[in-house]
Amino acid sequence: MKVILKNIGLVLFFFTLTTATGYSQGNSQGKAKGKEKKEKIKKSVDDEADFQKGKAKEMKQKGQDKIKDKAKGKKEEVKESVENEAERQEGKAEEMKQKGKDKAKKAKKEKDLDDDDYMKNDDDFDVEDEMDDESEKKAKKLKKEKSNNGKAYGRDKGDMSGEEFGKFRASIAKEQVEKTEKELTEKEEVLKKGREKVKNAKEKVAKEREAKGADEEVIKQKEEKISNAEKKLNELEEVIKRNKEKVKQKAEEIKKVSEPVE
Amino acid sequence: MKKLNILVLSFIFLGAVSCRDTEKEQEQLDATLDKIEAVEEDLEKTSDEVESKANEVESALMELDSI
Repeated sequence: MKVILKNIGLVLFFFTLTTATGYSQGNSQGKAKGKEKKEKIKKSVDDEADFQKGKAKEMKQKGQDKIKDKAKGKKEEVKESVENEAERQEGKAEEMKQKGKDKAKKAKKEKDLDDDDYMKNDDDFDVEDEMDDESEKKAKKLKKEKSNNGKAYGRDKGDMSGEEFGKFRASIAKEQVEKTEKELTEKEEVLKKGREKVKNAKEKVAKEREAKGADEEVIKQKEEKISNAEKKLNELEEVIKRNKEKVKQKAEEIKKVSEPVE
Repeated sequence: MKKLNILVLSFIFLGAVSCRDTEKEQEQLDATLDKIEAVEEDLEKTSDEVESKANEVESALMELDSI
């Protein structure tokens, strides 16, 4: 009996040992695979981004030409359709509200009149339940859409472990932070050039004013344009300032989030 | 028999410990991903806001070309 138990113990020991070794080997292979996949995903994301960037530039150029011509007409069209849709939705909401009120009243009345008619009231409650279910489903759908939101990597870990995936996502977020910082710096450059342009325009208009025979109305129009540009530049400056702080804060958040992962 | 009991108990213990760890890790990962996604969303909004303001500025500056 003792020998049998000893043998069983030995077999179990070797079984555990081989399983553990196999698991750790698989894990390390998985990590290597994960790294490969990570690189692959990163590369494909970069390629796709470059491709889309090129495409976007092309589209932007085309769009800018078209937009100028169509903007006026389309604006009116869109405004009208939005108004119509809003009216329609408002009417529908009112209708639903009224319906709900009627049903609630009916249910209360019936309940008061006869307790035996409970099953009848149940239908009305079913309608309310259905409405609740529908809104819940919509909320869930929205949440799901939001969670994916066009990000191919989203929450799909692939072969990566949780830790690796966390690091990977944090590195992507860091890249996005850097990209946004770069964008802000570029816009600062636009701001600087804009200020220069406004300064030149102001000087030009001042000279025109000094010259004899200048049309006062034309000068006024030019000054209006200059003040409008100045206003927009101030707004941009404010937005850049605010968002610089925000991006700094977000970078800190990402750093904090990636610290326990790293 | 005593040895067998110890072995079985240790397997159960190992199983329970490994399962709990995975769950905890998943929870941590979810929390991290939630935070990262929130930051990404904010950054996207920031980019959009700055871009639209810059477009407004550019069109206002274009008006100055005719002066």
